[in-house]
Amino acid sequence: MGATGIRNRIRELRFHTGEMTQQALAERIGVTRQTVIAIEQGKYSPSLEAAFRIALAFGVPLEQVFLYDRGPQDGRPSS
Amino acid sequence: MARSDESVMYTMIDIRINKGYIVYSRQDAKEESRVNLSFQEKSIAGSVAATVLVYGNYFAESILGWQSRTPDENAAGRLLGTIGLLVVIEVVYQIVIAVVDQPSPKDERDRLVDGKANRNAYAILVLGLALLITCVLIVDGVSSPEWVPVALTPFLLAQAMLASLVAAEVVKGVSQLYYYRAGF
Repeated sequence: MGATGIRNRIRELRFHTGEMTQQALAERIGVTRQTVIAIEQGKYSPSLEAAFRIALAFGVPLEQVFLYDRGPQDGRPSS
Repeated sequence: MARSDESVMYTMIDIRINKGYIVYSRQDAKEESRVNLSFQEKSIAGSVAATVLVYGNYFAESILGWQSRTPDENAAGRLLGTIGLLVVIEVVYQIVIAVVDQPSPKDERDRLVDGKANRNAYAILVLGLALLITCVLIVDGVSSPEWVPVALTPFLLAQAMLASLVAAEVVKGVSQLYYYRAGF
């Protein structure tokens, strides 16, 4: 349990944002530091709203924060 | 890759990319390693421990009394005392950890953990009550079988229901701790 198929670049983005602490990010997006840790470690997939708030905190689009690994269950998009 | 290895890797990358920020990297490494019990986890762990100890003692006394066929003269008082003791322990413990550790309001992950844990607890509660109803139907049905070793008195039924509630509460707490640690 724990692997969600969603990777993220939060740790890297925190580093590039003046080494923003987990606590500072948590306060900006309205969650606890433990939740930020869980998201960073891929143990928890945040809600869409929280994901947008994280992207907003770093000033980047959502897809630059979260990356989804396509699995075999993911079908091809219909044309 | 193990989590600890990931933390080490991040620190090494930070140093290599920007040597001027070694201090920040160390600070962050300390932050990463500070992933011990959160306020919510401490609160839950304490509640589970208190519940297991206090009710464990209560049910152990009840079983010993039932085995020795000693009539429990003060059964209701003992139950009230147990509940009172648990309330006092919980209140004192929650105050202590609130003073020591900064309490944080529940966020979306806490609420999701609560929901999943409640689902597990509900399953245990339903299972316990279903077993109890089955026992009542067997024992107090048209023909009470002789192999049933105990009369299902109202007090014993209440004890069994209480045991189901306690078991559900413990499962809820243990589930919460598991989901906080393992993720979902």
